Amino acid sequence: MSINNIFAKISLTNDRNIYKLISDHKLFETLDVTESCLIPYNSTHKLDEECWFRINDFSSQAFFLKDLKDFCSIDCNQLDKKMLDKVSFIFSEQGSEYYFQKITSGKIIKKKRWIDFGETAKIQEVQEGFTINDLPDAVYLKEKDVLVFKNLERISSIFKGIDILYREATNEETKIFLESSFISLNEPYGSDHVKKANRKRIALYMKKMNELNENAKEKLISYISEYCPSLRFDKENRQFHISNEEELKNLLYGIAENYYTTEITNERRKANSTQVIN
Amino acid sequence: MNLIFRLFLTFNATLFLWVIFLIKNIEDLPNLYGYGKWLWPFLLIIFPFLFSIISIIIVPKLSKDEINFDDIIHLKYEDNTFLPNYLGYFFISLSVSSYHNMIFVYGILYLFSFSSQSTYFNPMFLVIGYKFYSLKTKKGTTIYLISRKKYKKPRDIDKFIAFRINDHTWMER
Repeated sequence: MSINNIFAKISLTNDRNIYKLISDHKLFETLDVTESCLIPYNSTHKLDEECWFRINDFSSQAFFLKDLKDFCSIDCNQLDKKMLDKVSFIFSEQGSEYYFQKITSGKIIKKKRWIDFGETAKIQEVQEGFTINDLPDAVYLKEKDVLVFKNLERISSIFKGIDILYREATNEETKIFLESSFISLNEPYGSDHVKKANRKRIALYMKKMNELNENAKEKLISYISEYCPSLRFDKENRQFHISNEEELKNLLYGIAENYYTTEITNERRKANSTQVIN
Repeated sequence: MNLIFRLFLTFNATLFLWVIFLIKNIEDLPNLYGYGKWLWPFLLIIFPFLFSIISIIIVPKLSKDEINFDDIIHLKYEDNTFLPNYLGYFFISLSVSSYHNMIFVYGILYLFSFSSQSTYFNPMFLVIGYKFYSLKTKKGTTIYLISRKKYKKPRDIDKFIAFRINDHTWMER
């Protein structure tokens, strides 16, 4: 027999402890996903509904939640009611799995009444409380040492520093990228106009571009120009003309090699999300 | 629930003050056909005994925690540490002279006992077969455990469920 308890993390400048909230209850149903639905995190990937992102070797990452090391409920004090509005996230220990939910001010309900259709209908009242989501924001599978989640931005306040995984290119980096030899910028479009989504892509593919040798780079440029007729390509200077966000996006898709031809039906396609198959 | 239980435990732990005080003033109690002198001490002692059993019965209503031997790095048997404190109560009862003094002294002791983290300590638990241990977790927290089991080293602890009396004390039934 194993006890499922619910805990809360307080966010005060002088108190960042974990407190025990509720005894002998679960927050969420046990996560039931097949291994193939756990996709290694990639900031531009679009998840299928039943899928989750995964981060392997979570306990050795810099953004690992240190409180989970040797976690033991007897180290935690019982939460005082007065501190309920200081809770930043709650989690339940369910066997060797930890289910997290972030608490935002929108999740706190104050003085609400509703009619409960139990055996007999009756009015229920809540003075102050949290609502519980249908799905956890993150799950830590301790035995596999894997963190599982859907939206990284949502959990960045729980796992401090995890946002390095979805970081956007800085102004400086964007500028350097747009000055690459294969890009010719058309005024007035410049690094200041590059929005969040493209900045994420730049942060991701910049490194790849720098690591390719000259030969491969040439090949990649030919590949993009062939698949993207809408992208104006200057054959002489071997430069793409970029004048808006859409063109930059298409170019970045090209760098990611997201254009392909289907094998059987010979159809040309563009993928807005990809996944490596092993 | 928790507050009521703690008030009850405190009452339980301090009840012996009254038992000793009344035994000292046994002449004031009804003499029960001349046998009072011999019967009253036994009758009075039944109360702390009974209340201790009741408190053990309601313990499962408290918050539960799981303790694993993996979590514990240090274990110490503590019965002897508590007993001297308790003997102090006996001397108080024996030296207070009047009833209204006793009520006042008891009130203060109740308050002290309730405010301290030792509300649970009641030698009746020892009589019923419970033992007191202090445990230290990997993170360095020291807690008290009241248990019927005989532990000598952390390895003797298997996975078990304990009930949280307060943030420093757990009871295993």
